[in-house]
Amino acid sequence: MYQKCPRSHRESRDNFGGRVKGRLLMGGLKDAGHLFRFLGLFVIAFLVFWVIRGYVVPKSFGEYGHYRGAAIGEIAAHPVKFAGHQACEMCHTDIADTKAKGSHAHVNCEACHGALAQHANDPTSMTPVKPDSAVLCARCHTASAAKPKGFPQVDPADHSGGVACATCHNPHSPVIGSDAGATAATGGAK
Amino acid sequence: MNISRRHLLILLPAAAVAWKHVLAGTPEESPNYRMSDHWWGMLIDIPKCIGCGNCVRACQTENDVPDGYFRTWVERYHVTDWNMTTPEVISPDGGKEGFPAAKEDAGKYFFVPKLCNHCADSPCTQVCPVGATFVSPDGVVLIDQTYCLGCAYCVQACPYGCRYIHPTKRVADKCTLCYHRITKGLTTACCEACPTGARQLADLKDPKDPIHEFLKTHSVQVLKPQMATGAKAFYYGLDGSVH
Repeated sequence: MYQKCPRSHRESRDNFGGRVKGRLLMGGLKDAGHLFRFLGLFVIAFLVFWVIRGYVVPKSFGEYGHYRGAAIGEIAAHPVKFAGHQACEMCHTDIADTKAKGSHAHVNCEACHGALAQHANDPTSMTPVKPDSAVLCARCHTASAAKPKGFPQVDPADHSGGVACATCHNPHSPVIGSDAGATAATGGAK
Repeated sequence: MNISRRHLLILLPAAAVAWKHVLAGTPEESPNYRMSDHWWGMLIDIPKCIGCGNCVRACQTENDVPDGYFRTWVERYHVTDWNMTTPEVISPDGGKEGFPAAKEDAGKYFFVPKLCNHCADSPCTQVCPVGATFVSPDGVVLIDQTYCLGCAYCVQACPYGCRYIHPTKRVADKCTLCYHRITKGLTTACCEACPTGARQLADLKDPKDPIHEFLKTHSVQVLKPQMATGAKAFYYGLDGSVH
């Protein structure tokens, strides 16, 4: 196959193997010394890289993937602001009972009362402000053609003429005439 | 049992891998939480959404989201019979304070709550040049904000527009699926505040989660399925005009 190569190429091929073998085996390490020095430089550079890398790359990097594993714990440690309805129901059992029987059973406490983890952690440190029912109820129940048809909707001006919703409805069990309706004026709170 | 040196050497790496799997993650602060036991997503029930904006406000409170930026937001679609492909979409201030009045008898209206889809094959994590954003072992797309450079590649890569550069921290920010809550056994702030149950947190690895029954018995869609992102925000009752 190398008959096709130009003469000069064939010569260099024939000579090449011989020369390299000759140097390594017979020329001895005298000529190869600089190769070892070069190799030494590589080893030193690699060690320097390895040490710097050890300092720079965070310990947990690569624990689960190409990212800092400890970041997951840090994100999980953020403070909670909404306590969750289970926390509210532990103390406010009366309201939880009222609510469970009414049409707002599936509406969580903090959907209306706002974020109250601080109150749940230490009830004396912060007392929630009672929401203004005229604003609060209207947010969900103001009539709009865009809302699902089955959802109870009213035109607030027409419906109450400015009277606060909680005057007639108990927000915790809003259907008038339902069991809990009697405590309407206090919003079910004692 | 008699184990030769040869067998021990073969078994050691396997044991190491198995132990790593056992350890696979207990985020600090949540000692009873094992990442390998969960695979989080969310179910959004469009016919239940009333566009009250409770979720948007709750998210901003829980996560200190700056004004004008949104980790979740609500869009109102208006689709007319004669123009189904280019609906009119509004989201005033992310739907935080509700929506303006809708015209009666003027086509179809519905609300579409949006948030990070927590894609299993997320385009945003693939483009991060420094490994600052990732899919956690429990399927939540998170950002390591101490590592993020703020290059905003991920903001461009997200097909759903769910990321932004935080105006003061100058790093990428997005929905964490309230990771600090779900690892403590709570639901997300948006789900907690939703008055109609239109949003429900779902754990796809929990056999007792009602999501399994729901997915089995309902027609559910994800956004932009053609992009094969492995999105885990499942929409029930999604109209074809939503892209």
